[in-house]
Amino acid sequence: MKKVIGFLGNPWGQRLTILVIIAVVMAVFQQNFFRPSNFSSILLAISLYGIMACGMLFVVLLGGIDLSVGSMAAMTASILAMSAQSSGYTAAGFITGVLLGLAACVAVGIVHGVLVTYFAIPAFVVTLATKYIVYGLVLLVTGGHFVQIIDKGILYQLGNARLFGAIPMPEVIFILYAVLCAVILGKTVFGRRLYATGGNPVASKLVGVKTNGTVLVSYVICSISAGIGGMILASMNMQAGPTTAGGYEGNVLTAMVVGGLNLAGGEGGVVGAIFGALLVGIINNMLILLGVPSDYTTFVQGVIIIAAVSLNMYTSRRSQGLTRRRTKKPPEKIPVTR
Amino acid sequence: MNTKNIRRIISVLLVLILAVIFSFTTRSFLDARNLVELFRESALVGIVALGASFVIIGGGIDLSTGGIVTVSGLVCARLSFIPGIPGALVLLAGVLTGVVCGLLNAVLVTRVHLTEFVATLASGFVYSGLAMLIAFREGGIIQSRAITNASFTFLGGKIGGIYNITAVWVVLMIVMMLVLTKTTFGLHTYAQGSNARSALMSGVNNDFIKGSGFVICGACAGLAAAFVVAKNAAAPVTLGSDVAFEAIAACVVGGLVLGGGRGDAVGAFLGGLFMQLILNGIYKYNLPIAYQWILMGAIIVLVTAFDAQFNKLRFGQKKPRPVERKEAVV
Amino acid sequence: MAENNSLLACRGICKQFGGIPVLKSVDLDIGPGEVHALMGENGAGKSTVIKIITGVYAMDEGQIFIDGAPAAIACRQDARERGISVIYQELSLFPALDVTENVFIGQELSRYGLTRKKEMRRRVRALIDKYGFDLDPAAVVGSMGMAQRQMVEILKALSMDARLIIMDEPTASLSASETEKLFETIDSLRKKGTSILYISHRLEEIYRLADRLTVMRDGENVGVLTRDEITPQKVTAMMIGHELKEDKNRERRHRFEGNRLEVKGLWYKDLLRDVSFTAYGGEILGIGGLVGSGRTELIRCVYGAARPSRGEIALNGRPVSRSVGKNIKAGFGLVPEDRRGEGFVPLLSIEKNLAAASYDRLASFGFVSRKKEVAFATEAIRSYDIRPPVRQLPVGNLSGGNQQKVVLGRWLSRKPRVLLLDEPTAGVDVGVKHELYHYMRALALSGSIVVMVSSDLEELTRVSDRILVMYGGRFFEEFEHEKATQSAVLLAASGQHTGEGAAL
Repeated sequence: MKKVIGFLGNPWGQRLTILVIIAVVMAVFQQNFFRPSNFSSILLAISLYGIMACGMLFVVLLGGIDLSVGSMAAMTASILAMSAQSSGYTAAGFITGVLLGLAACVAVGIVHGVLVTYFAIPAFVVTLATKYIVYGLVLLVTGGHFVQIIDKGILYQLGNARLFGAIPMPEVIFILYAVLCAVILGKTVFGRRLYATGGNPVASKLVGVKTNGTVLVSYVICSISAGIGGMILASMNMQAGPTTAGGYEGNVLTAMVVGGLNLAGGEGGVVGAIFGALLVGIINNMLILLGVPSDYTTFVQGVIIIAAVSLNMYTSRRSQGLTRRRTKKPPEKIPVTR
Repeated sequence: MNTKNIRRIISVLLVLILAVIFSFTTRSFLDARNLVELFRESALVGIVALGASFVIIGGGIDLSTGGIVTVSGLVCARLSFIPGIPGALVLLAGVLTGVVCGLLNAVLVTRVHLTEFVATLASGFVYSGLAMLIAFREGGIIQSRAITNASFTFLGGKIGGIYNITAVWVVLMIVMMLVLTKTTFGLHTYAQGSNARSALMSGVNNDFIKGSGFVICGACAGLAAAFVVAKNAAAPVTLGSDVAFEAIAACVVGGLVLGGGRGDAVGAFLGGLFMQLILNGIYKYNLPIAYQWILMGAIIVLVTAFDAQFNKLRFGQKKPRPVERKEAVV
Repeated sequence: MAENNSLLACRGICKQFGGIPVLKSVDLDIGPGEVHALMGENGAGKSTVIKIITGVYAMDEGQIFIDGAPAAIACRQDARERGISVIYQELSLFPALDVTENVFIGQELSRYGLTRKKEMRRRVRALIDKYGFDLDPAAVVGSMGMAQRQMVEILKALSMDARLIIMDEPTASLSASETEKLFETIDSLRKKGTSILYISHRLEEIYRLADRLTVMRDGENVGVLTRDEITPQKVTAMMIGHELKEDKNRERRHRFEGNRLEVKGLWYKDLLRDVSFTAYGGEILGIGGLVGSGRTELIRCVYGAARPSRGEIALNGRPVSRSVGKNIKAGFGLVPEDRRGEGFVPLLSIEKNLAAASYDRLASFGFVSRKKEVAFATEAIRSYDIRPPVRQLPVGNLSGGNQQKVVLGRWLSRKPRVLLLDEPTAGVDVGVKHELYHYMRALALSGSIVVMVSSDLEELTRVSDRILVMYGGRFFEEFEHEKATQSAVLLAASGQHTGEGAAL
């Protein structure tokens, strides 16, 4: 029993277990799952979640969260689509759209960072509010309609072209982006400071880390990632509007927790985020193959998040010996001094 | 002047300002009919906010109320098609659904020790997903079906010129005000939200208080859902889409400080009213609905930022300095 | 004294933690209506005694008598029922609730499920009137000052019919006027027959308040003094005991006048008032004083982690920046007091904790050179004998001593020009302690400035080349190594000049 718990407490143990379960389920119910063509469609789907998860990772490492990624993706998607449309799908219009979209993301990210650091408002409150604010702004700008993209120019290429005629563009971008994030987190001073701040902000301040700045930059990175995801999504769907990427924050959050990331911050890496995105992609794909209506995805996501976080919590409490000590009369054990 | 008064004044002023603006700029605002409708429309978010106030005062947050509203509403709709079922039973089933959802939240938070926002965000997904499971479908597509059970739709009507749901809302506010201020349970809720560790040491059963808060919140969401479904004679799966957010916004406007310990049921009531006033204004002036979301989001951010800064200014210097201790290093 | 005269009498209390005796046969007598002070250095065992009296810890041996009858105190509830209450250092009040609710929390009066607010208010009012407190039963605690909050805590104790109220350093977070208010409260409690066990490091408070004083040292009580017997010399002598005559004639350290940290006229909140000093390279400058005398704040201001309201800080004539990052680059380092909370990142590995402050050297253009980082950490682990010598191990899993070596090693590897240490050996075992002293000395010998804040008098007098003692937010007395004795330092920390030091 102890060994089982130890195995499940280990991130790789969890990942392996989940993969085995999925493989068994699919082998029994739906062998189409194992077709190469299915795998490539999974990969395409996860490149979006993956980019957004890589960004969210920065925030989660700090013990924060960003619930507004879906809205931000809708925002950049709409900005890009509108800019391209109004310019007649020229390259200039495309570039303007990309830059404007990213600028908007940076602005939202700065707002998040400032509110979380200088005003000390919990991250989920801030980002829940901005989720609705940004959504409202997109509604306002688009008038609530979808902007159709009716040209197969550069904007279309972003989401649909294939590198060397084989690898879809979103996957290329995803891989490049993941490598970039891994480098930032693993090889740069900023990455070191991010982990330190997530693990102990006070100690980090005392070794010269500008913790507020670190947090702010992380929220900006998260926003930008959501924005990039949104732009690719616009191109893939050939349309953009207020409900583009709706509910993506659920997907990304699920990716975080099934990727074995500790929502309290301080530990984890790009591998976890990518694995999480991969699992979310596989699970969504699995549901489709099993003929489950798409309406049920939120249900499944909810169950998965609860199960994954509960398991994390249980194993970590177990390893700290906290599970058995819980009795009906806790006050006696509380130490008098801190 | 303390924080409590300032926040109450702010919330009353906000409601009054909107009311005054509307009464001057639109002719029909102060009409009895308009007011009756206003109080009916506010009641959904208002009742959920009343329930959420227990969780928020206790220092927590419940993001699952929207999901609870949807699933309870659909349970009611489903049951109302059983021939001969009395409306009261349907109502009871709606409330019970809410209670069960609240219990699950309570277990996740107090027994499994999940962070509240993660637990309730995820359980909210589950509840709205459950609603999808039991929704009416035609050819696999979700369809809302008109409810014809008269004894149930009766609940959505009026008695003495006032909608039942409005009456329930007001009664609930009074009851909750009493519970919060006059009972040990209420006192302990404030104590927990104010200083959870001390509360535990003073003999407050934190887990019980926290869990009860979630159950009360769930019950309120279920109750509100039942009445709204009865009034509309339909239960769409979008019934509670953004209710969780609106309820939190209502609480924040009404002076309930996120983080706990402050605010009361009257505040939550006013907050619920305020949310609907905004919506009414948007409809009246033919503004895009987008403004509702922008305004609510902005209000949450601004008011919470105000709370944080206000407390910093007021209590920043007075916080006890940490005192070093070196003894009994065991 | 016979047990039957005492409200509370402890006889021969022994307590061990993990085989180490913390209390060795402690006796304590507190009479009715008496303010009884308890003094002793850090680690003398005061807190353990209190925890045994209040039922937090169980004693290994000994007996407790209440009103002359043997009493078993097994848990906090037992102590409360027998009329023993503690006023905690960090107050356990609810800012959002009013005075009455705070007093009655957890033991509310109720009828038919409703609380009887009026009755509770009436009772609190009666208590307030009885003791002449300046409080309104309906006032919200959040709007009160610290002294009033303490009164609410006392009321809470009195409402439970407390006959003995234990106050552990109650003035640590009070201003001078608030302290005076507390003393008045204590006087009125005494008049009404409530006993108080008053724990404090401050001699002047003891003179002002105590009827009797019990002094503890190394887990034993070394004597009881009555009011007229309490003199600073006697108390410090009892607290320190027989002072080992150590070799004070060691070789005079070479002072590197070229490396000089000058602080002039530093003010910080109400904690530092016009503090000036100069520290030189080559010497370990000790800073002594009681908790709350401003020592920690002083070195934090120098480091840039706290913003002084006035004053100049200069290193070799150049003003010191107010930014921690810039100061680190200029050669500063700080070992903070709260190791786990401020010293290291528990989840991060030894190597990353070691390297945390040195990325200005281990990275170029923002990219960390892995090779340099590993070399840096390996070298530090070897030089400072960090165990286990595994670079990848999270620091949170190490022993206290090794954690401190990581925190210290982080700076030592940089060869800092100024190293500031706050209680560097707290909670570290003896062997590691001496290693740490050795590293500090080696750094000083290489010409760096070492400033050490410490509450450990033995450490202060043995390790420092020069000691500055703080009292009431300013430097009070300066000792050269040769003349510093523990009792002289302790007296200076309590505001008593002695012949050994030079008054400042």
